[in-house]
Amino acid sequence: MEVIIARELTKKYPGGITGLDGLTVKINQGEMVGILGPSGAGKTTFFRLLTGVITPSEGELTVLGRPIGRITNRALSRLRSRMGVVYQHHNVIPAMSVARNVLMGLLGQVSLIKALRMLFHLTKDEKAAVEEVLARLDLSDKLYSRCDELSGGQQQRVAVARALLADPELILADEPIASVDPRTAQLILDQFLRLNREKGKTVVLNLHQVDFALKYCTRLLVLRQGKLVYDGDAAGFKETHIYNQGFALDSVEDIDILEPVKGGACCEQW
Amino acid sequence: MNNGNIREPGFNYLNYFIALVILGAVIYSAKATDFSPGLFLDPGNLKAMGRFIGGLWPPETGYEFLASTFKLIGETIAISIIGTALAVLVAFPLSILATRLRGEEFSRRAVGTPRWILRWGGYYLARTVLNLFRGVPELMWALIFVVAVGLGPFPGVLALAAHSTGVLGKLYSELFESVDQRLVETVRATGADELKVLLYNRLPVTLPVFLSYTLFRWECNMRAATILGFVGAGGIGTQLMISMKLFAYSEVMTLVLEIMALVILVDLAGQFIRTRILDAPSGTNSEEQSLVTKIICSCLPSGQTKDPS
Repeated sequence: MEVIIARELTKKYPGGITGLDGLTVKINQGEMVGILGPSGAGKTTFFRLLTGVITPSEGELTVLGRPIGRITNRALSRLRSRMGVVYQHHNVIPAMSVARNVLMGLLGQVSLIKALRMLFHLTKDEKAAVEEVLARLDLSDKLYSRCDELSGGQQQRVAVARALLADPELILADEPIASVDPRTAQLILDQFLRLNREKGKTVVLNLHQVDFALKYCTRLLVLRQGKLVYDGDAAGFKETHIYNQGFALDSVEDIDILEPVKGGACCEQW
Repeated sequence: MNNGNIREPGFNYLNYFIALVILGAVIYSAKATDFSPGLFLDPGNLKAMGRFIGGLWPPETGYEFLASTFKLIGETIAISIIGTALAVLVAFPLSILATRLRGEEFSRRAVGTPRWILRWGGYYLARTVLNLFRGVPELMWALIFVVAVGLGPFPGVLALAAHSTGVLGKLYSELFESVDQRLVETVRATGADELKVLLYNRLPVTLPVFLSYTLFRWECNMRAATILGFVGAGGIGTQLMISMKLFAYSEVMTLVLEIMALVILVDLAGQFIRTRILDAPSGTNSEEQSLVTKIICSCLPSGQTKDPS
């Protein structure tokens, strides 16, 4: 069963920048997909299209059976409540406690009254559910800490906990490990992998680090300038000329310091 | 990208023209308002002022008069409090409607024309209502409500509530709009609708400023409540008006001193509470929090120090 179907998917931003250019791809249930590509390749554009934050300019995108860009706000909310979403930054509400930030994962499934009640009082079940998911991410002792007092890696784990809480069918993460230490990165990716292997959840990750992508993902999509340039298994990717053309550069030894950085304009919003 | 195109700004005739227009406006306004400081030195006026200032001292300190003014001061404070509370109740829902929603998911193409028109219709309706409320000053509202519901403190309450609704609604909606869009998207990504986004993002993130604005509005209402009595809408202004008209200048002196003390006290109280709100500790572990901080922190969703765990 296809979870994500993109047909000739194109996104043009006001100002004439093309974020994504005719992407056609299908992602099946139970796949663990890593999306690779340099900055401005369209990874984040694709991710924001998948979460419905932006709408396609041309082509079609269907996520969990719903056409993105042609559904009501309410239907979009329902669709989102079936996804677990993790961003690279701005994942937590700083003024709120870890427990409330994690509980936000349920917002798509509870009534407004219950959402209001959860702000002031947690039932035993809710607290137990939050504690369980925080334990998986090694954050048990931070239940009532304010999120702006946590380190970046801890905040990222709170975001993952929120994404996992509601037992989503699809997990989407945009650079979830780009700004965390390697140990936290492994902890986070292990969680995604476990859900994928044990519960058959579909996981789609935007990644910068090729080594992590090769290790964790069964399928890689490689984007360059908004176009799909590779779609296949991780092992095969290493053999391609695309890998050798630039993705092999993932160690500091390959960088010439004080050389002007080459590259086009970044079309990603953030 | 400096290709030598950047030049020092040169002489601009338009600026000089604007300056001349402003100068002209000042001169015309002075003429139009019969601006003539010399009138202070007119013998007749000097005499009248002398009588007035002479009559001010000593202030009236009779027990009965003081008791009645204290009662009126209590009424003034009550008017300002209930007026502000009413304004918050009406302004809050209006401000939600008047908050501009950003994001392509709310575009006309995404939601369809009827829904799009409904949403933006609601937005402009709320903005218009708020502008109307805000556009009419308190005293004019008081005149209207005195006609509508009769004399007394009640029309005063309604007058303050009406004007403050307009002010607070605008401030609240702009506050809600100012929240980082990326955080809004994070909360929306959980499947939360806009009301839940308000509860879990817009409100908690802006709460200190939200409370500060509300408190400041109460201070303004307190000052406004002192003159509502001029048009028969209750409060200490009622007595001030009567004493003025009876040429009881010693009573006027007492009232003016009382009003000054009241305004200063309210300003100090407001300043104190607002500093406490804005400097509210980020951590909630400190046991040495003052009562006010505790009350405010308990309003914050993270105020979980006493949560049994």
